[in-house]
Formats: sequence, C-alpha cells, structure tokens
Amino acid sequence: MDILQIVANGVPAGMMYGLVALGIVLIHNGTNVVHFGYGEQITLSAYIVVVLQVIFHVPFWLACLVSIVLSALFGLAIYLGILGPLRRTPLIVQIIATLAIGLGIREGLRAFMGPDPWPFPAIVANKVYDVHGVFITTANIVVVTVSIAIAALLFLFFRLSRYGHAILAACESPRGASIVGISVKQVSAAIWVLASVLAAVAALLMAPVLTLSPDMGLIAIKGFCAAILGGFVSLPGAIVGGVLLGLIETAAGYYISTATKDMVAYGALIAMVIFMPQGLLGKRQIKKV
Amino acid sequence: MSGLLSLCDVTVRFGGLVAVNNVSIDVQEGMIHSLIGPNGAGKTTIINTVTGVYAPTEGAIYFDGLPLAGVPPNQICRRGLTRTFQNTELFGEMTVADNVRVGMHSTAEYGIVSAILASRRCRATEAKISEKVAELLDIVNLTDQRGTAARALPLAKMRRLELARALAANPKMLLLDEPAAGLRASEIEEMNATLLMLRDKLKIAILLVDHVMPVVMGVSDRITVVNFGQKIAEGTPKDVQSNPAVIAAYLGH
Ligand SMILES: Nc1ncnc2c1ncn2[C@@H]1O[C@H](COP(=O)(O)OP(=O)(O)O)[C@@H](O)[C@H]1O
Ligand SMILES: [Mg+2]
Repeated sequence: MDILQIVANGVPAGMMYGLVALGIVLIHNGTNVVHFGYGEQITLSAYIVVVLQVIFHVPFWLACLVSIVLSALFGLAIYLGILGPLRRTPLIVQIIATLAIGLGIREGLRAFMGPDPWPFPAIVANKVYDVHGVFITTANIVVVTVSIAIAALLFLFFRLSRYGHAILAACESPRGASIVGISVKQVSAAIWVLASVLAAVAALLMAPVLTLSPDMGLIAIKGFCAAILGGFVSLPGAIVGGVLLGLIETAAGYYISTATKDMVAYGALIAMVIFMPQGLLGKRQIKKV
Repeated sequence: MSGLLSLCDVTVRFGGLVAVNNVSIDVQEGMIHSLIGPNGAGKTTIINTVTGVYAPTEGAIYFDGLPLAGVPPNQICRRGLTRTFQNTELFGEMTVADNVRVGMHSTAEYGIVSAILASRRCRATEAKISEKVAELLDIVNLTDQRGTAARALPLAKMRRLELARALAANPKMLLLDEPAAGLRASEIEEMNATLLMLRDKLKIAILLVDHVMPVVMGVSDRITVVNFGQKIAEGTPKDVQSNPAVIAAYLGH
C-alpha cells in the first residue's frame, strides 16, 4: 500500500508544481523571458482573495472570480508597462525586471499585509476518504481534477483553435507569423494574460494547502524544477515534470525523511540537467543562424 | 508609379551604410519581375522594406494604389501582399498541413474555427479549409508530407512549403527571396513550372529575388539589376544579359 499512498500524495503535489511550470513555460516559449516573479504573482492572487473576503466580506466564489480577472489585468499591465517596452533590451535586463516585479510584490505584501500567515479557505470542505487503506483528501481530488481540466483545455486551445495556432506560430517564428497576419505584440499580451490567469487558478489550489504568507511564491522554485525536468519548452512536459517531482519528493519523504525531500528533489534535478539536458519531453534546441 | 507595386526613389540607410540608394521599381500586375544583383546589393533589404520590417529612410512605396508607409508587417498580407524568406521562417514544430493552415490566419474563413463549438457551419468551414490546404499542398507537391513536422523537411521542400503558406493568404502579389538557392537542377525545373503556373493560372504578380540564372532568365518578364544599393539596369531578360554595366557588376569590375 505504500506505493499507492505515495502516488495519492505525490501526484497532487506534483500537479501543483506542474501548474506553476505551465505558466513559466508559456511565458518562456512566447517571449523568451524566464519569469522569476511568477511565484509572487500567484501569492498576490491569493492575497487578493483574502482581502476581498476577510476585509470587504465579498462571498468566497466571487472573490475568486475577481482575483482571476484582476490577475489577468495585472499580467496585461506587466506586459504593456514593463516587458513590452523592454522587449528590445538584452534578455538579462528583462529577466532582472521579472525578478524586480516579484520582489516588489513580495515586499509590498509584507509591508501591507504583514509577515504572518493568513488563513485561506478551502475550496471544498476537507474530508479524507479511505480507499482500501489509501487515504485521499478532497483537497487533493480538487487539485488533480482542476489541473487535468486546465491541461486539457490548454491542449485543445493550442491544437484546435485558430488563436492557439497563432500563438504557437508566433512562438516559433515571429517573422513568419507576422507575414501571415499574426500580430506578435498581441500574442505576447495574450500569453501574459493566459499565464496570469493560470497563476490565479494555481493560487486558489495552493493557498489552502500551503501557508499563505508573502513567501508562498518561493514555491515557484519547484515550478522551475518541474519545467526543467519536462524540458522547459513543452507544455505537457511541464505537467509530467511536475508529477515526477512530486513523486520523487513524496517518496523521499516517505522512505528517507521529510527533511531530506527537497534535497533529493534538487539532486534529481541536477542529475537530469547533467544526463538528459533536453528534459523528458524537450527537444534538442537547434537555433537557425 | 503605375504598377501594382511601386517603389519611388526609395533609400534605406543603416547608420552610415546606404543599403538601398534611390531605387525606383514598378512591378506590373500579372508579371514576374526579377530583382538580381551580387551579394550585399540590397535585394533582401528592398523586400524587407516593402514588407514593413524596415521603414524607408527616404521615398515612398505604393501597393495597389495605397501607400505602404507605416503599415506593420502583420497588416501587409491583408492587403494582398506576402513573401517568403531567404532563410525560411517556417513553424518548425507544426506539421506541414498546419503551416499552411496558419497561412490562412488573415482570411475570414479561418476565423470561425472552434473545436469546442463544432456547429454545422463551423464544420463546413473546417471542411473548406482542409480542402484548400490539400489544394495548396498539391500545388507545391507536398501532399505526402502533410503530417510531417516542418523542421524535418529537406531545404527544397521547406522552400515549397513556405510558398504554399504564402499562397494560403490569397495574395495578389508574392515577394520571393531566393526561392531557388541551393536547389538541384531537377528541382529548379519544378520551381520554374510552379512560378509560371502562379502567374498564368492564379494571376499572381511576383517580385523574384534570385541568383540562379536558369530560373531568373527562364521565367522573368522584366528584370531589375541592383549593385551596391543602386539600380544599374532594367529591361527584358535579353536587354539585361547584354547590358555592359550588368556584365561588369557580375564579373566584379
Ligand atoms: N538590419 C541591418 N542592419 C545593418 N546593415 C544591414 C541590415 N540588413 C542589411 N544590411 C546591409 O545592407 C546591405 C545589403 O544587404 P542585403 O539587402 O541583405 O543584400 P542582398 O540581399 O542583396 O544580398 C549589406 O551590406 C548588409 O550588410
Ligand atoms: Mg539577400
């Protein structure tokens, strides 16, 4: 039963990492920028729910909805106000800008909301089911269901819709895309909005499970690991990488000790980077000159 | 300015370098007009300027009677003008068929495609799109590769795929940047036949940049020769071949 319990705990944890990785990979594919403030965008969305609910007494579901919309607008603002204008600067400048955005959010939250954790309501009342000796919580069921639904929606969007095709095209060849009538700027803006909506959804799933403090965004490090395990260019890879990371961590926590699980997870990451640099589902990068 | 595409005294400078110097070209409707000249003569820069990648430092460009100044690259194809690239700019991870499909992005038909709301009208549109994709792949002889990722194609096929993608937007005019470079003799024959078919059957005007003389001399109605950014000759293939300035430019005198 051990293995089944590890799967039951590891997969939901991994799905959360996978969601974070999805947002990071989306932005990276679409704009070449590695977004080091993504975790803080997640934290901010969670705080918005708390502020609306606790301080303004907005019903929980409405607060969630407003948080998703605000996060989308915030993503658009980041693009229009910061990374769009910076798009011709060296990549390192853009990456430092994302770091600054993240630190700004984190320290802003610490200043206005205090350093202490806030309670975050669970999306559904928490119950534990005993399935033939394997314990499964409702929170985990929600995480897995929502993650799979999001992955499926994204898959359909990119495979079958005209806009999905346009985004993929612009990611692969901005020049080729613009000559067939695709606005690369609109695509970049759309990617920021999409990734920011994902951040808000991830916040709703994570905040009840993790601790909602200004430092919750550090979870993004696990998102980066998941993205790298998956190859950093592939959306399904992000999810697969996340699940793998979740399973490794949970197994390490179970068989060795909880204290070592991060160490083992990062060890696996380093091994991956050395022996399989293209990741699980990544492709070897061949850039045209 | 009497042609479908008119460049009027166009100059393009990059800092101190004059890449295109006071060049005027008129491409007439339904014609294949070639632009030739040694490497670095400014041919690609001319195409890039027409398609909005660069703005002309001086001069004006008209397409179909309207000025092109300030029209962003992604709006140009909506006017009926499209291009291929010297180093192909395909969507490498997408299939051959999807590359052509995306080429229809600017056309109205492609707009309603939505997998989730698969209404009857939607399916009808989808069928029409697939039909057009099949037709275009047939024209460029890539039907058998329709499911292959574009990056896996050999160069000659990438060139033809880029042509099909350009045709998907229903252009009035095509700008082709060295479509025959690196092709074998048999492939050059095919390219010639395709270009003539585009002109004669689809009535598409073509501005063709190429070094491959069998292509240029075989299909051109008119040829403009540039060297060091300047137009040095213009006329029929015969005129140009016997022009002393052209011979000098190619022999490097
Ligand atoms: N973006 C650019 N910036 C600076 N110089 C350029 C740029 N594009 C082209 N050039 C220069 O302009 C000249 C013409 O180049 P190009 O148009 O590519 O020539 P061709 O296509 O005829 O071989 C060359 O000297 C080239 O180095
Ligand atoms: Mg060139």
